[in-house]
Amino acid sequence: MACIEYCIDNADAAARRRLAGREDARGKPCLQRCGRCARGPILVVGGELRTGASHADLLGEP
Amino acid sequence: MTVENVLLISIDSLNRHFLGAYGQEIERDVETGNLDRFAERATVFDTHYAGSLPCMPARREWLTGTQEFLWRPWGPIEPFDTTLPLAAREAGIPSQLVTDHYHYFQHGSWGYYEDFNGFEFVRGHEYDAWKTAPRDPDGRLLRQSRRSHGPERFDTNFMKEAAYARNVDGFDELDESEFFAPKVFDATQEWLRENAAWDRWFCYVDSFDVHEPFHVPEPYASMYTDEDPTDPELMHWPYYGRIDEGQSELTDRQLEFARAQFAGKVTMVDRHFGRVLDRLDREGLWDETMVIVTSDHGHYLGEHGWIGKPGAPLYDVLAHTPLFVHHPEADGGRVDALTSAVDLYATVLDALGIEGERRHSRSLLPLVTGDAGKHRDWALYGYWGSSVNVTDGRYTYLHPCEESVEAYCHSASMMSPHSWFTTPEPRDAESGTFLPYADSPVWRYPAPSVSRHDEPLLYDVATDPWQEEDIAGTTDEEGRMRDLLVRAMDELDAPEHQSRRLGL
Repeated sequence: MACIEYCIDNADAAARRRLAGREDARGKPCLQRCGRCARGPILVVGGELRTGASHADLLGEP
Repeated sequence: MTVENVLLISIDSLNRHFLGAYGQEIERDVETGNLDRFAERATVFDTHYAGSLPCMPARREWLTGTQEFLWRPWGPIEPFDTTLPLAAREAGIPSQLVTDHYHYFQHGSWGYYEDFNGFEFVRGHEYDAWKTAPRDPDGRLLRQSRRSHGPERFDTNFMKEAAYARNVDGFDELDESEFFAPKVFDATQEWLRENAAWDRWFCYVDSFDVHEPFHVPEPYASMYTDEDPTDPELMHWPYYGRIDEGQSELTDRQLEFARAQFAGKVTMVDRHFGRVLDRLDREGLWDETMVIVTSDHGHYLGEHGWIGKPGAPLYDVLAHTPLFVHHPEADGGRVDALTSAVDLYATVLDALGIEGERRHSRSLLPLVTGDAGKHRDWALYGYWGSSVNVTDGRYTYLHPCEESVEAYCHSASMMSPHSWFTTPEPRDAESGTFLPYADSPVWRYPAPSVSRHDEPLLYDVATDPWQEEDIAGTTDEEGRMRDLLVRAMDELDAPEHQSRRLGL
């Protein structure tokens, strides 16, 4: 099943709040992408890694 | 009851239920003849539980006697810890570490190997920062690792995803001697041979195998499957998580292959562990050496719908661990008393005749010698900042945390509370003597809690060892186990914030 996976350490508090409201989002203590995670915002969407300037950007949100 | 030598062996991620000595509660008939052979001369502990998880927290329990997960996550040895090798060297007993556990040599977990008189580090497992060539690693290995075969394979990040494929480039998959457990146990038996002249010693062997990647050479890769082990559609290193969604989703065929490769790795470890037993035989060391074999935790292989060590409830697949102790003056047999990983620290010190503080650890020697039948009323286990779990040996009670209430990290160092392997971040923190078990001041700072389940979970593992029926809310035992959790945390003088975070 496609879902949005996010690292609770990578997502800031605002992003965590937004993601927690989505039924298809899963907060995880680690996505096993530590190097990328340490560098900036990441999400795994449908099993694929996405990186960007912010979680809002990654979700296509304003 | 003191001995001349102690050989402490950890086999990482060794699922207890794969072992013949524990009844091998799985459908597959997995060859573990050498661990079974060792179990026949050892005391076999039937109710042994992990404490702090995962890898490095377990090692701080063993090496310093600290039940750390109530205070801090994965991190370094603290300046106020007395490690086993430090205690040994101060008693004039030389110590040696043999390992391929690369976490000892990463950011965030310093202090574990430095006190040993010698250490042997077998390079290249998992994300070990060892090889940078070939730049473009074998695509088949990357696909089977489920690690990126896109442009990110050229990244220079920490824990770079292509590290394993580069490290094992050129390994002959028909030659097991090039793989990790064979090298670790070969170095161990060689160390035992070369060090016969010492009157006393402490040797700690930490095998990263059976830990993933479950990439194994022949004959093990084909031992428990009819699949082609080099089929790029079949993974030997799945991501952690649910097996029915997200990056960790697996087909039945993929899951079965992962189980088969795990089983193959168990057998590979077992065969090479047998070489250590043979060396102990040849050197005549059994009469003067206590030998301990254990594991830090298990690994989900589809049980409860999970794979790996994900943000899941801590079921017994992970928490109920194997423990065997050979003591020259004990008859062996089985012990059903409840014991905890943290107890190994005092056990080793007692066996070596070393006095000093035991912190949270209680020696298992009275159980090994038959001088005691009961050991502890509770064992606590968990990951820092998450659920806190307790067992009395009959019931397991998994108590959730309130994710909106932050957890506090206590350490003399700055740590990365969740991103354990990366450069520690300086943070705003207060300092003080916050630890009940050390006079030293430490930093204290908050970090997010991680919920693994929303409600308490209770299992009667005597009648339901696979924890398939949650009986929370149906029995008075829930209140008793909750009280036991509170009592255990009181006895450890756990931080006050834990009660708020747990709603206790």
